[in-house]
Amino acid sequence: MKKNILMPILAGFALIGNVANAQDFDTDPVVNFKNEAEDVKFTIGARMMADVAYYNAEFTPLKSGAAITDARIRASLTYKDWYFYADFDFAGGKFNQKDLYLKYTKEGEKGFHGFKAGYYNNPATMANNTSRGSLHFISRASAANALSIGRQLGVSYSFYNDKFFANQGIFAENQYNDQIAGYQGVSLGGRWLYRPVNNENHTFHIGANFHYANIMTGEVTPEGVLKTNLTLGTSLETYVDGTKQFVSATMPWAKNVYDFGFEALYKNDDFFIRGEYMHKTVTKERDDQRLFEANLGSIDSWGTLESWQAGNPLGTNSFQGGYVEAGYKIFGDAYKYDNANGILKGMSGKSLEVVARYSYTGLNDIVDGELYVPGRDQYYPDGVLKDYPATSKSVGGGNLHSATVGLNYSFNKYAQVLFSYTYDHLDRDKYQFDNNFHTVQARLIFQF
Amino acid sequence: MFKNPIRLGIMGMTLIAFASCENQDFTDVNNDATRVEVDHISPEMAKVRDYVPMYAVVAHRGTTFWAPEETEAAWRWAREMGADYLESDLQCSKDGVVLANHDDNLRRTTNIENVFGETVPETRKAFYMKHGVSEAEAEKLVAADKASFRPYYAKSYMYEELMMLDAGTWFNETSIEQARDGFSEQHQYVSALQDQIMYAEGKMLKRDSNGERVYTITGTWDPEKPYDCLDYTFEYVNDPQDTGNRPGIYIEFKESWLNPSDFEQRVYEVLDNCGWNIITKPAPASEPFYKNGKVNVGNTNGKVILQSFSLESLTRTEKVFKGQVPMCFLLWEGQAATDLKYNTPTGYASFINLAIQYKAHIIGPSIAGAPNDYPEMNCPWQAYLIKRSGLLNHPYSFDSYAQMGKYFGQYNWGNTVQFDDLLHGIYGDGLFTNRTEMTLKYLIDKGLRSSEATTTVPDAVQTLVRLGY
Repeated sequence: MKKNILMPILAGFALIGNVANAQDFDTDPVVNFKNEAEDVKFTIGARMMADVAYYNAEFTPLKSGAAITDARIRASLTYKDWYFYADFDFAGGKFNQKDLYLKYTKEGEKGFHGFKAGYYNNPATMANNTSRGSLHFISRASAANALSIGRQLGVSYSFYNDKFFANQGIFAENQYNDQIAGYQGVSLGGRWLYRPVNNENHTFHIGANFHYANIMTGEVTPEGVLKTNLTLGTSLETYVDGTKQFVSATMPWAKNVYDFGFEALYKNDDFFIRGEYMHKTVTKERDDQRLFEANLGSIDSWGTLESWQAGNPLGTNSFQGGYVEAGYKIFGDAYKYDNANGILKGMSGKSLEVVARYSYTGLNDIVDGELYVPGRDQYYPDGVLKDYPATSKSVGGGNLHSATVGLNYSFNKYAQVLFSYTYDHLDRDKYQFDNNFHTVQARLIFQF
Repeated sequence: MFKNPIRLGIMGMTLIAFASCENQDFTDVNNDATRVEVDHISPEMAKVRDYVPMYAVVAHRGTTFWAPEETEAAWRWAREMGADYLESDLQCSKDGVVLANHDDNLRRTTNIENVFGETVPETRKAFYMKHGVSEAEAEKLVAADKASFRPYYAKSYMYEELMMLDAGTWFNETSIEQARDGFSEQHQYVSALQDQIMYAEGKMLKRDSNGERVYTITGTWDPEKPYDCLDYTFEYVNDPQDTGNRPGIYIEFKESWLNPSDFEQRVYEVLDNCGWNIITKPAPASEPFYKNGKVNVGNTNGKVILQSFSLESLTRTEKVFKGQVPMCFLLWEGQAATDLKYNTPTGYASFINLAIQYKAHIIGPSIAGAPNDYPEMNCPWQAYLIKRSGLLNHPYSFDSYAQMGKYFGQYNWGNTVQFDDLLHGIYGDGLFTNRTEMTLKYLIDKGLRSSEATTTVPDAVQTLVRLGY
């Protein structure tokens, strides 16, 4: 009876599928409804994460305390080869749309073919395609937070078998098309893996990824010029105080973003190690002619377009980062690998593990010899203090080294606690007295 | 031990949560001000710093309240009132005369829009021809001037052209209650630096029977050396109303884009020519700041204080003056090219450290409060940072009793105890003011004025009357 009442209400969520599907949870929902006659399965589930953290900072204090960092409700509907998934977050009392997609999967001669459409993580990243519930850490590596691509609205095609995995798609830059001006940009992304070893006990994969984004959204300047913008940043691998102020870079006039990366993963029953390298290049474009012409007619006008451009230079910036993380299971269920998504799964059943990670995030792209003045948050080329114009192309978003050790305990498939200590070393001119941070934190996870 | 791990985990989380009692503000300025690194002035620079009298009264542009700023009237008044320094903002004319003008253009403080409009002065061709240029060449020069002309900027005009402007009447039109016929009847000029120095020495302009100043120009115009080809000779007479005060001058290098790149060197040479360069002509160390109840700063090694908001000018000043003349690095909060953008202890300290690196001796922060309502750059933590550095603190501008009471220990921040080990409730070592009469009286009443200085402050209006305005 209960099933019959719920079904029509929740059917609106649904399209369908019955194969293994990537989603932001590892555990199968407890609440599920099956209609074997129609070959339909509906699930609904939830997840809660509560964190507590204590920070020790050298200069700028962070807000120690406790916080609900994840409060999800998810639903899925499976019908034959079709699968629909919807996931929403209410942490912090705010609504956040998470995954929302339809996937069709068909087994072929050489492997599985998947077609996916909706709002979900761009394929070009291992870290972001690994659920927060499966991370083995309280946060993703800071490098991934800063440099990896997140959820986008688009379509993708994937193929996998035991040896190979390929996933590539095309996405909109702005999933709501609510930009102030212009038409939304486009983003391409792909991830390709080769698994020379892949059996029940051992898996080893190596891979590469690529991402391109053409930024078309932004704000309109008083001169009527579309000003695009890109901001990169990360917190200190924590959510209780999730400030990105320490490691962040904003690039006005960002136009084209090129990412490439490499990854490797090895796991056996008791041990895993994985890592990624990420590189991002940001080029810029601006309507110089229009901006130059808009400044004409006043006593402060620049004389020529060339002189205006010399006084307002644009440069390309590059950033990189990477992480290596490993875990060792002291007792409990064996580590599991997800062939369909090329990722390691989370803990399941009663188990205990120790984990460690090193992450490097490089958001400093500073020209040699430039002088930084904190009072102006400005770099001066060749170390020369010159009032005007500001001609530096440097970006000082901060370089962050993070080292984490953790102990994770899973009571059962529904409840886990994670403990960790993270040491962060920051090198950022803007925060010259904030070099060392220590974070002790714990997380309680409950999901069904 | 692990019988009830959930309870253990929750207890641990709770303990950690309540163990954290640290201040959680992202920027706690009072706390950070005690922790940021601030360099300290060197003993060598401290000697130059000490050329400057404590609680110096700096007559801001002479006065902006009682007379048209940076004119003969304003500076004569300030001298006679007993200010320690006559303050000015320096720019450069097209033919190299160092002059005083606060704004980046001359529209507010002169009648330039009526006299010249937005075009090259009609007299330009004649000017060239008068100074050795053929008519054909003069026409070419005028054509070139027109092509690059930027109206109303001082650097676009010959100084002789600027002397055609009236820098006094505008004041009567905008300051109705302080208007005086004398500001119009006695032609107030765009002043040269040399004028300012002469007023400090007790002189005034020599005028002809029409009331116009007397001067001569020699030399031949050379478009390759526009700043150095002509020599102006200005004439002065002893001011009959001079009562013997000899203030110093407090001269500002305006933003670097307003002036030639060697502007600081040009000012150095003007000071040299006027005998006011203490590097080449030091004063006896025994000369007191006050003598016989009169201001005597202009006869000491503290006779000139340099100042600038510009980081670029700060570095150029260090190259030219080498820290041997007192230098004030001025602070203003904002987003413009010379402003302090990040008014946090870290940002503020970085500007202090630049001041020390480039051999400045004074920080000049703006202060809040009516009537100017400038950004607050001299609250206790900021004054504390300046004091930690060993630099002097010359805030600007004190134009009300309320402001002086606030920053000099009478009330409000005078009751702040956090930084009193260094500040003792006093948030300044000198005062820029447009109300010299009010500031002097306040310092005398508070016992902060030197015992060698007079305790009598002339009446502001009667002084203007006595000076003939």
